[in-house]
Amino acid sequence: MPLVSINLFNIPTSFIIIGLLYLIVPFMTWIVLNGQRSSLVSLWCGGGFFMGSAFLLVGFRGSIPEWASYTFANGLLFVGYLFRIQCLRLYLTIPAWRISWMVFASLVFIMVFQVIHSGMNDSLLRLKFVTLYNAVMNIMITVLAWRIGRRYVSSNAYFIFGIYFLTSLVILGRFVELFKGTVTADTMIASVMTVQIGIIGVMSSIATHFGYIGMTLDRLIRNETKVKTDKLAVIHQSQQVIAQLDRQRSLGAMSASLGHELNQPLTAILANAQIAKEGINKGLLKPFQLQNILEKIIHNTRRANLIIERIRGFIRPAALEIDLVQVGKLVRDTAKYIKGDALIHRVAIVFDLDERELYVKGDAIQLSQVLLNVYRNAIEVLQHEKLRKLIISVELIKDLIIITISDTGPGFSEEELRRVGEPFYSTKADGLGLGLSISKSIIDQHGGEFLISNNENGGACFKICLPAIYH
Amino acid sequence: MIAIVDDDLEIADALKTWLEMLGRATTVHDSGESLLAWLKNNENKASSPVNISRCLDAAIFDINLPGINGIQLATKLRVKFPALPIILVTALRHDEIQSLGDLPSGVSFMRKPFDLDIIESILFESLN
Repeated sequence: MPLVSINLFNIPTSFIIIGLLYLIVPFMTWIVLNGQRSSLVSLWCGGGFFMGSAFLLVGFRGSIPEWASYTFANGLLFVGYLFRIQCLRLYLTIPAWRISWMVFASLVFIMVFQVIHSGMNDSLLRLKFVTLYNAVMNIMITVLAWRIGRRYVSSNAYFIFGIYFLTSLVILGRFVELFKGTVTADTMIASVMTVQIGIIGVMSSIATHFGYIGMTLDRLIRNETKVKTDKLAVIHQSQQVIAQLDRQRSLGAMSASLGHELNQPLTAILANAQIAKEGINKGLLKPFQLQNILEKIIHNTRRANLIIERIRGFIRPAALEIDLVQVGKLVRDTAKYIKGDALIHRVAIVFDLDERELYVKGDAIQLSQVLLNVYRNAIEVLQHEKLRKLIISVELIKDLIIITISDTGPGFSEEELRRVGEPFYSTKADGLGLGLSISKSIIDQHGGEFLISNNENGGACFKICLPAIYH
Repeated sequence: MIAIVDDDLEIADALKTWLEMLGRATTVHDSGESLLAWLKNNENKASSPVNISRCLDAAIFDINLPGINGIQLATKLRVKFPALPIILVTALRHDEIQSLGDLPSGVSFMRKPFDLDIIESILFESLN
């Protein structure tokens, strides 16, 4: 066999090569990850550096003092493993090992090693111990890399897992051979296993670092994506808050309508209660008639409760609740909120609804908020007009449900048409300029379109187009 | 005959039951237009103008009605029935009612929810 090849697979030589690689590659990794450096990168590269130093010291056995090439070298290797495991634990956000614990473990390890090495002077036992702890550490790293791969669907982590899995297999193979007694400390140098250890050592020194760079970049991308989604969530949340404030403001301005709506069932309850009382006093009611009247009281109490619940639902702060919404019902129910105001301002509300049951997917409260904003705007504008009509129609055109709300007001000027719906743009002296811009963003969120234009006969025309679900 | 106009059937029904308990006949309508049509029908059947005014003793209706509102209805009725007792019931406040337009004379107001005893006393005071 040529000399070179003997030297290459000679354990000290290969340990020197692996040691050098473990010093250079982590350093390069550390340079490459400049800008992304964190305690995790330092732990991984630092761990590699400790391991490299350990391998070098092992490689120089015979040329340097024994304590350095045995006890100190294994101590360094042990610390290197601890660093890497700690790094992967932090990556997985598992609680980190305490430094005091790590120092304690390292000291215990060195003492045990020293006892086996010098105290017992049993080289086979020492080899078994070294192989065993190497196997345990490699398996721990393998498991952690597998967990990272699974949790973050990271092919880079799986790559690291693969390399460490192979390493663990080879070390375990060596461990089994040592126990079976097929190899001894002396004959190992020439065994096939040594070649495998050499190859796997070189491979892992390079490949695991590439994998680690990939994993760090994965993490960077993940963090950036998270920052972006967090930002979007904050924007979304503030939109919800503004929308809710707008709803509260609308309801405040509609006390007349709400008073009217709530007074209807209360009137029915009071009247029926009085009828029952009078009927009993005068002996005019038969039991079945009395029961009938009591049923009406119950029914109207429930009706009042429904109205209160609806109002509460409308003003409560709530996240988007997507459900099937029947458009005709939504359009009519929302008009109830403004019935009283329409009456006071003598605005006639005319419905022209598609008789079919048309559905859209969306948040009923937010959609009724949009309708309410448009209704209220129209009623306010119509107060100053002679002809006061609000026409609400619902139609199905292809796959779109189109709610059209037009009025007989003066409509918009060209400038207004261009700017209406912008945040804080209002044509009213006391307007905040939020209603229509909120409406627009709500319809956007529903995948629809909110169009503002003028009628042929001059009034304003609002179109809400939403994708139809069943028809 | 006492006319009741309310688009809320629960309220119209309660008023009807109450008045019938008091021994009064009623005609219930859900809109002003419906009452006016009923009157026109009776007018055609009646032989003399005196009989027309007799077909209605009093009217109770909501201001908030579909079609013509209660005040418009009251104004129209007043032309035909100058002495007809009219009670308007509404959930609106007084200042809100005023914004609806001029009220014909001899119209009483009741805020919802109303007390039937008060309606009874107003009604029978004017009927006697």
